[in-house]
Amino acid sequence: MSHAEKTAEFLKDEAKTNWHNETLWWVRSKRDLSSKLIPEWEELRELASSVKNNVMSQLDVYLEQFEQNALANGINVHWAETGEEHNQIVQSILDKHNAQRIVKSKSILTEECHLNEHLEKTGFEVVDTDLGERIVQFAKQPPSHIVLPAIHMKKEEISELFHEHLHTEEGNNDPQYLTEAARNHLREKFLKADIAITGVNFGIAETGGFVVCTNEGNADMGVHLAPVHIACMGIEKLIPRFQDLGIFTRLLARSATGQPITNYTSHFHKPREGQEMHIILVDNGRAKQLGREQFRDSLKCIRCGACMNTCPIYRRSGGYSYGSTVPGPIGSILSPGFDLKKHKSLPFASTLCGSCSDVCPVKINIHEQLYEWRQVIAREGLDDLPKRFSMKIAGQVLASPKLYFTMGKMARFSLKTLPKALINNPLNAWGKQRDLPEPPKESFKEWYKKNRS
Amino acid sequence: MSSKSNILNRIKALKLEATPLPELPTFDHDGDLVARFRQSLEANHVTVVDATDADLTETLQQRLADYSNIYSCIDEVPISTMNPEDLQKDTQLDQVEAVIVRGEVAASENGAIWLPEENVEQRILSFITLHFFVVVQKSNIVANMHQAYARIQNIPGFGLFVAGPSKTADIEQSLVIGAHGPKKMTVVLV
Repeated sequence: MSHAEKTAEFLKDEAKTNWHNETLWWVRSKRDLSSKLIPEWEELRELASSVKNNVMSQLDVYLEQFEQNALANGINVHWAETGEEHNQIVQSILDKHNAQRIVKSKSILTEECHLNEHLEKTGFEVVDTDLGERIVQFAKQPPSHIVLPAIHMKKEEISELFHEHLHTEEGNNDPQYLTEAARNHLREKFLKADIAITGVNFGIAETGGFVVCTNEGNADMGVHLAPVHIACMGIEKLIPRFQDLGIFTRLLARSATGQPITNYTSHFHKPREGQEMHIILVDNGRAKQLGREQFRDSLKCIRCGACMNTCPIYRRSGGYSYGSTVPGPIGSILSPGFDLKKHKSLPFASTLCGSCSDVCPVKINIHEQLYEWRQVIAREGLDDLPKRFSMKIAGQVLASPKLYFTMGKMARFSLKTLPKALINNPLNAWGKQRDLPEPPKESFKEWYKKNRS
Repeated sequence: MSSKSNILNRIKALKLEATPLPELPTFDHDGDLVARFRQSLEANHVTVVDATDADLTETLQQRLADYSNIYSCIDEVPISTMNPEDLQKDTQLDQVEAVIVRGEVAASENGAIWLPEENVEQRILSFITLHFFVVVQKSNIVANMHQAYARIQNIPGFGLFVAGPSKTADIEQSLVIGAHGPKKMTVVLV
């Protein structure tokens, strides 16, 4: 299904769509307020962008440096070319420890690799511990937003899920009550876990350590209790220097939700005494994307979600309409690199307004890349036929002043006289939710001739 | 060929030209750093109290009246009611109500306080306790994260910037304090 078809599903519940739209805009507004308090905000964005450009230009050097330093710190380092290989590495660690109970904190990478499905198929219990992630896991859904996984759900739905899974009171929709129930349920899981899996926000090449940011403290509750910690990291997550964290910690949370920093910014360099620590470096198409010059920048993303919160399309279509692990504008430039055919409708899920690029803390030119992908898709012949046909006609009409004049006249006449049912016919996607404008009596040229010549 | 060399070779084959790494910035803030630090913490649901080196223990004790399971990681504040061996998964780790630690450098812009693991008996304590107490010297407060990171000379095996109690807004963006970890956090300014 295309993005537009899935969006039609989302839009069926108008009240919920409006709530979704307004709530994300509110998050975007908080981002604005918070960034305006930093006089050097724009300078910070520029710095973050340059640091990440530098990382991308020497990724092999930094990866080797990172591995060397991590090994010296006593961390086991693994490399995975694909999601499948990543999952097998995780499984081999689980097997080695005869582990059964796994707690996981938010990791978009493990979603991308479909780790949960892989492990559950082999009989492991995987518990997502971020509250939003646990909610969508109960609902057997993927996250719909990379920072706010359950933003598509109302508290009534969550209450129902909790009643079913955690035996909370039926109809008690109080977020405080529901969160407390999740806390007690997950506390048990933390205390009994054999292995904790986390994602990584930043890997530091010069020190061989990594940083994980949460507000709930769920990643830390998992890893500091479990005897084994596995951190899964995309190869693009590196930064060169420990001191670079000053730039990124100032940008990340402010861009994401408007808060000045996440409540927990955890820096891991060595396993605790008696603990085993692993890091898996995952490529899964990233090196390929690095080779695409016009799309290389997309790898600079630090996964704050600001582009989603600001996007007029995302806000009104929901995360699931994108059908990709990372939705929204950034997902629409990353996903076609993984599978162009599957994600060919995503670069069109945009008005190209450029708001995504304006809020991006690492200055990715998202809207320009969306436009670039559209051209790739057309060149590959993957655009849909009605659109290609109409664009071809439009091209011919706009290239010939004579034809343009005649077509204009015809359009003004037919819009005025034809019945609405015919104008908003099934081929006219624009007419599905809108009426075409009242046509003017004459063209500008005609008016000008009469009045100014 | 191993996956490692496949990945690295794929990148090397691109022969990308190295772009310059920018110099680290040195932004500053003119205002009263202690006042701004206090403000940042309070905006993030942290209670801030003042103390002196002399009355630190007393100040803390006043705040601990409701708790019976207390663990202090500060030698000069010997008010623990639990022993290190109580803090095991199969004993009373989950019962700990108040943990007291000394914070190092702190950023006024966001209230983040650096806790190297040397300052905490166990890594988990900062997260599993019900009420987290952090003692901060006013002289350790700097303007922002750049300055805070610059002060960290020895990188610990585990280090934490903590800025508030555990929180979530995953249910309809309604803020709830006490998601998995501390439901309360108190910073004592010395």
